[in-house]
Amino acid sequence: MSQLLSYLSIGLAVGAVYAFVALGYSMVYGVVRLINFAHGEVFMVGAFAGYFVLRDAGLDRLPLPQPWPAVAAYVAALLVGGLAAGLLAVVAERVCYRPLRRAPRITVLLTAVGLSMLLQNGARQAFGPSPREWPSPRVFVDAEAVPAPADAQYYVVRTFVSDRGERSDHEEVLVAAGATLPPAARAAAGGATVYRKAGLSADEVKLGVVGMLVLATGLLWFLVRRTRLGKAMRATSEDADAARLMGVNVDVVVSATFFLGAVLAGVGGVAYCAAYGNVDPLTGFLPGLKAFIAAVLGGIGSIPGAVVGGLLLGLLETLFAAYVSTQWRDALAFVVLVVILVVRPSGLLGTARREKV
Amino acid sequence: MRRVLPAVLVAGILGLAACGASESSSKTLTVGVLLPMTGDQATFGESSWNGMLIAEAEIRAKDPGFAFQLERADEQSSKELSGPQTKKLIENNGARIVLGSVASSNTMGAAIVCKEAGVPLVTPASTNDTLTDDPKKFGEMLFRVCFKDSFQGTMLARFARNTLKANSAAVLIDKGSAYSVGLAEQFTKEFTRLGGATFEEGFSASDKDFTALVQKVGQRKPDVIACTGYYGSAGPMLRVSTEAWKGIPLIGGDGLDSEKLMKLAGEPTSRVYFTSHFVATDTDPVVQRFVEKYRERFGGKLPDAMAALGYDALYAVFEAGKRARAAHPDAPWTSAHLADALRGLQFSGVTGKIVIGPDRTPRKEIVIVEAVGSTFTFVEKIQPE
Repeated sequence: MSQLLSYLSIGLAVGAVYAFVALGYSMVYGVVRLINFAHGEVFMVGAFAGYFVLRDAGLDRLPLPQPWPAVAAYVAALLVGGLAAGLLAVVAERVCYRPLRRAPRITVLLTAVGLSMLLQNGARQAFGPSPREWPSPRVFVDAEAVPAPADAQYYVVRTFVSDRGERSDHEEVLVAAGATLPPAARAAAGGATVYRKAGLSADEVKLGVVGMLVLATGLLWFLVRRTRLGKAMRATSEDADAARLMGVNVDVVVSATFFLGAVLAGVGGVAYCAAYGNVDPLTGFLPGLKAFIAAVLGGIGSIPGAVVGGLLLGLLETLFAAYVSTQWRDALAFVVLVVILVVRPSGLLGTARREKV
Repeated sequence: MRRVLPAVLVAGILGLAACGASESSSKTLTVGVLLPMTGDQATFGESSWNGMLIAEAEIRAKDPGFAFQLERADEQSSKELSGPQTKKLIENNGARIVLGSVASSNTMGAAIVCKEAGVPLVTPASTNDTLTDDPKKFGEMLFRVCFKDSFQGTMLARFARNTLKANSAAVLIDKGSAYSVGLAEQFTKEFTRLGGATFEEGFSASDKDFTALVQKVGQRKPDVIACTGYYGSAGPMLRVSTEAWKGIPLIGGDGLDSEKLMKLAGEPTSRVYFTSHFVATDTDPVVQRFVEKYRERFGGKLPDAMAALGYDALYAVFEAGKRARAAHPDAPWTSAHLADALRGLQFSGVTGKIVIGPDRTPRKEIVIVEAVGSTFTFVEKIQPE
């Protein structure tokens, strides 16, 4: 039973990331009828932005009581990751999609695929193709009171000397489990701060991702159902021309849709990479595809559909990996796609919309 | 400008062609080097290359009359690119002998090209058995300076069974990698021969999310987990393994031997051991001399096994070159002479005494290493029987 529960919690966390990305696919499709295949790359760019914030901004060195510096670093990484992704999507929409708004749908679709490749290879060029390890925020501890975590065989204590708070060389000391900081290392550290790198535990990541998803879905629902912008979005979705006649600024609505969807993808990107410990330019490819499948599964264009589809796909995948085959897990998603397209093309929560001729 | 540009291009192309021609006819031996300089095995490529640079400097100082140059190509950690890049080295750069690559699957691509071109290939670190055991496919001109997986897998299984006293082992296999599949097979064979029980689980190196796999393996409570893939998969697995693998050691082959392993792993709760060719914390004076030189040249960085094997691979070329020159003085460099000289070659490298046997593979020592934080500690060294 506890086995099943642990698989369910893993599946829920993976599914929440898919849901984050699927929301963007669904929103954009709902408003402009475009499958934005570059969405996975937006996810990757968000992840990289978050990576740089965690690695270089030094927020985890803020003089705040524990564990707030680490929390601040993560909040900043999520915000910057989301914003970077959002801005990228707005620019992409302005440059690549807006000029093609009257073009046949296949043209726009191909543009999206092209943009996806451009971003993937651009990132390879800019960040290098090798995976980078995800930076763990530092947690400061008093040099006197460095306890060895009971469950570690060894752990690394690093000292860094900062007179004026700037980054400087640091030294690593290995401490065996059960031991405290050796006197020699303590002497070497001198007056410097001793800190231990603290990654997030798997449960913390899971809880964080699912919590953020609940929050984001709530906010999104409020935005779409209760605000003027949301009303404009729904109007544009139903009929862009009629909405324009009624005084809705369609361009702004479309930009906002892209922005919101991409912010969610960026946040998802940071969370995904934090959970699995590394980031590279192809990070967005598979989650992007899976999220697209999740969006179709839930009913593309539907916000609750994207959430349900994402969570369901995450759960299905994890249970499949656990009880059937780990190796064939990725293939499962595509089988799901084929099945849903054959059996119920409008998705679980989607409504079949008759094409106007 | 419009008229000048084509003229410049033509001049450039002619110049390049002239260079190529002059190189191949001169007495300089062109050694092609095929390595993964980017991608998920990039640290392997970088280390091997650094090791070769150390060897290059030593050889030039030792024997200034031995004229050679290194031409490097990047196979980008890709099976698909290793063949074309090898072709480029042979056809465009005029390589008479090729060194490379690291991952066995990638060396296979290079081996097929070398076989067709009749150029000897010396692999520093590809351990998959079929590379030398399947001459129909990979030819008879492929040599290595490292041991084979049948030896490595056997020793890893003995270590797990005899030293770690494991009765049951989970074998994790990267199904897309010839190295991983081969190593797992040898490990399982020896481990069960010694009375242990194994179960296997496949994964794909392109995976990022190993949580389900880790959970699944942990719940079966094996005494040891043998991950036969590369550090790029083992690291992230360890990272998410905290609760599930608590107290279960993870072991693997030389694919885990990278400084990135523990960076990707974070602070795992498992002890991590792997078999390798070399470890910088070995107190052997030959090893320590190499370590000193390496640290001096590369800013205090410690060499890993790939660096040592890269060094030995270039030395194999040098030793073979000397033999070929003694046998055919005044003759220009030819691939056939070099291949003949490589057969039965004997020399003493930093990864142990290298005696290239009839299977074009040396029988040599193996070390067991424990990864602790960012350092690799020497556990034991086993001589071949």
